[in-house]
Amino acid sequence: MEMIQIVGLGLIATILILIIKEQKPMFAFLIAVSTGIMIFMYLVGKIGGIIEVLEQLAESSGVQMIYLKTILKIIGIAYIAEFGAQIVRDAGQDSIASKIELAGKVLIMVLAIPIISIIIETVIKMLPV
Amino acid sequence: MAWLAQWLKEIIFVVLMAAFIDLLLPNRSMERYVKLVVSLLILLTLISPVMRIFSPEAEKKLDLSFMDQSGEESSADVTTEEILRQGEQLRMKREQEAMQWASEQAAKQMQEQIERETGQTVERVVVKLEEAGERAEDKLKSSDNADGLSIQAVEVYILQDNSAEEHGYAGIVHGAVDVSEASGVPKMPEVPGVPGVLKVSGTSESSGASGVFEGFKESKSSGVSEKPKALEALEAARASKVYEASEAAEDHGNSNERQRNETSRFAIAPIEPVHIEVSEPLELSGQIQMSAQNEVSRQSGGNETQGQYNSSGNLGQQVTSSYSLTRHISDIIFREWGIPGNVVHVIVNGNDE
Repeated sequence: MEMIQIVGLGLIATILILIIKEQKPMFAFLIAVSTGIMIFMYLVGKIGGIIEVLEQLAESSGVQMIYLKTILKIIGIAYIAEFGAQIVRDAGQDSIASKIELAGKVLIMVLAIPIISIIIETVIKMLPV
Repeated sequence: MAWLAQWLKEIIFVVLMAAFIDLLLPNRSMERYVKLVVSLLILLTLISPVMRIFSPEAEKKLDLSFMDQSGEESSADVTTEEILRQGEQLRMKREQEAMQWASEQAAKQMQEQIERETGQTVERVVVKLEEAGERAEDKLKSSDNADGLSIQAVEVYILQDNSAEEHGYAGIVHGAVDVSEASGVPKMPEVPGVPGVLKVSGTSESSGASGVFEGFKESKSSGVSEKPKALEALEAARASKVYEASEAAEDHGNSNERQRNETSRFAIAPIEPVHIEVSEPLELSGQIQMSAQNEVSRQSGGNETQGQYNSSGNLGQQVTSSYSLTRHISDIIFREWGIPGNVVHVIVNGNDE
């Protein structure tokens, strides 16, 4: 049912955009953006539920939360960057979209820095002096 | 074996999550980066037992670095270091408060004692405490610091009472020394043969007004206890080279300038009260603060704040009218508290400064 709702929303938005695009391209773009945001907001609740379950699982199994947090951060950054980049690309600004993606990549790499540093530290300590 | 089970659980969890987010990824462009980070995570999980052996604090560091990165959950799970740090801060704050309270109490008692013994109105007493560890070398421990505190400075602010003023009045003749206020204070040192320094410091009325006449400073010391001695000292100072000294001081550095200014100022307002100090030559030529070894030098701490006009260092003796009072106060403080005189500053609030 939810899927049908989302598809229906998407179809209506598409038809509206196709109609309006000839006269007012600006409004077409606004419709596209708002539709995207609506679908995204709709999904946020579901994603929250998934994350909650994952956290509970991690906690009950005694896995360190660092791993889960890192992974969730990666997903979040990837999704938000992708979403923003798509909207900007829809507006025809490819260069800005690629900058947004670059920012997302850099932020993901930043997450890796503490992990890398600790791994390297451990390896150095393991090596015979 | 528990650690093995835990380790395996972690590996399974991380690998599952890696596969999961691999599916979740929105597009291919992010894939390489995400894969790198996730594989690093898996590697971290794999070597975590080794890590625990070689660097036990690594996990904590990882936690901290992640917390720093996002600034979140800082309140949620506080690390032990943070709690300890907060406790340390609290402790220091409490100690500071205790120190302040102690100094206030000590100051109150000192004020009462001084008022009782000298009869002067003490405006306030400021006791500056410091932890002994900080400047242990140049500070003398006072007897009341059981907890490693030492007294850095004791400042006594004195309001001269009106009765004293009448001694210090204007109509001072050349060389007249008013010794009306002899209060049984220890004697001044006399070094008659030595050329004397006249040290005139800005002062209160009560301590005796002095007029300066043609560069020669006359002092009227009302606070001096032993008249003959004070007189003698004054005479000695005067008879030897006070005049010359002030003249000679002209060609020295800034102190001369200061003195000249003073001279002119005194000439304008002859009523202006002046402190003159006597001190021993070796200790103090041109020095503001004297050490406590000599009883004589006790009083000099007060001069610092009074802004003294010290004719330059070739002369040995300094005369002050507030000398006896200052010294009396430092004697009292020394007797009651064991605080050496060189940390006692007596500031007489007069009308001039």
